[in-house]
Amino acid sequence: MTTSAVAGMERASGEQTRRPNVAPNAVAGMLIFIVAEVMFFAAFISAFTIDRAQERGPWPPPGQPRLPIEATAINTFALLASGVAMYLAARAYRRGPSAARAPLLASLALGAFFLVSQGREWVELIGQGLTLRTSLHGSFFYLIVGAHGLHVLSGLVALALAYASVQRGKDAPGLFAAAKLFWYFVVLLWPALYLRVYW
Amino acid sequence: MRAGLGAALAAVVLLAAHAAHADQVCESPETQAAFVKMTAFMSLTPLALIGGLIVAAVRRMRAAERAHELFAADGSAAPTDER
Repeated sequence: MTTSAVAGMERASGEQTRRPNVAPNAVAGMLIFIVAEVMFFAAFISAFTIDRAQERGPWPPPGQPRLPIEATAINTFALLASGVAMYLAARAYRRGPSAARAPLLASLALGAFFLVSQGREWVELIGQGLTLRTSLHGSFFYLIVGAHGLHVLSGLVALALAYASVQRGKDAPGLFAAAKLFWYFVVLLWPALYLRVYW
Repeated sequence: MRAGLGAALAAVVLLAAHAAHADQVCESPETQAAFVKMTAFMSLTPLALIGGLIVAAVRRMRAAERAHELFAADGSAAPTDER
């Protein structure tokens, strides 16, 4: 329940005492957004799983480039490390916004590394002839991994805004908590996509 | 009467599911299995998400109320910082 909702309840019941906040509006909004986003990716995974089962042969289909499982494992590790850095930043933020600066910057850097490495991987795959139009394999790969990449980019923008706020010494717990939640979502979603699409 | 009607309806639905196997999507056992798994996945995921949100909201609300009561009894102001 949001702060304003609690305040509304207090007014309705005639209570004048101040109640503690349960969740900032930014966090409540972000949670609802994440629920919608989980369903967005669930639909992709569902369609991919059924189409892959219909292929009835090895995956990727013969003649199609193999996905770089090992190189992406390193990227996966970097993204998970970024999530750990975000967790440390959240813990440090309780001591004061400026304490979160270093781990937040580490989280940003690791997230950017993941995105750049994924981009490089895409360039290599396009060079090998795997495009959005060549096959179902290519279509699903670019659709699912590309959608996640866009979410990583959005998450990095949110982290950069949180970092700018921390850098100025401004206390904005709503912004920080919303960026943190979105980043956790992006980080935790990736291993599921990696295992489903690459393996 | 209602229970009987419900059971009859359930039986019809279960029997009709066999007719659905004739669909092009379910032409092989692998596809059938994938279809059943993804139906369960797409049905249970939103329920789990919304249920999780509700449970988390109720738990936070109760914790906040407990903290509020504790601070009210103490005579000091309740904490409002939510980092």
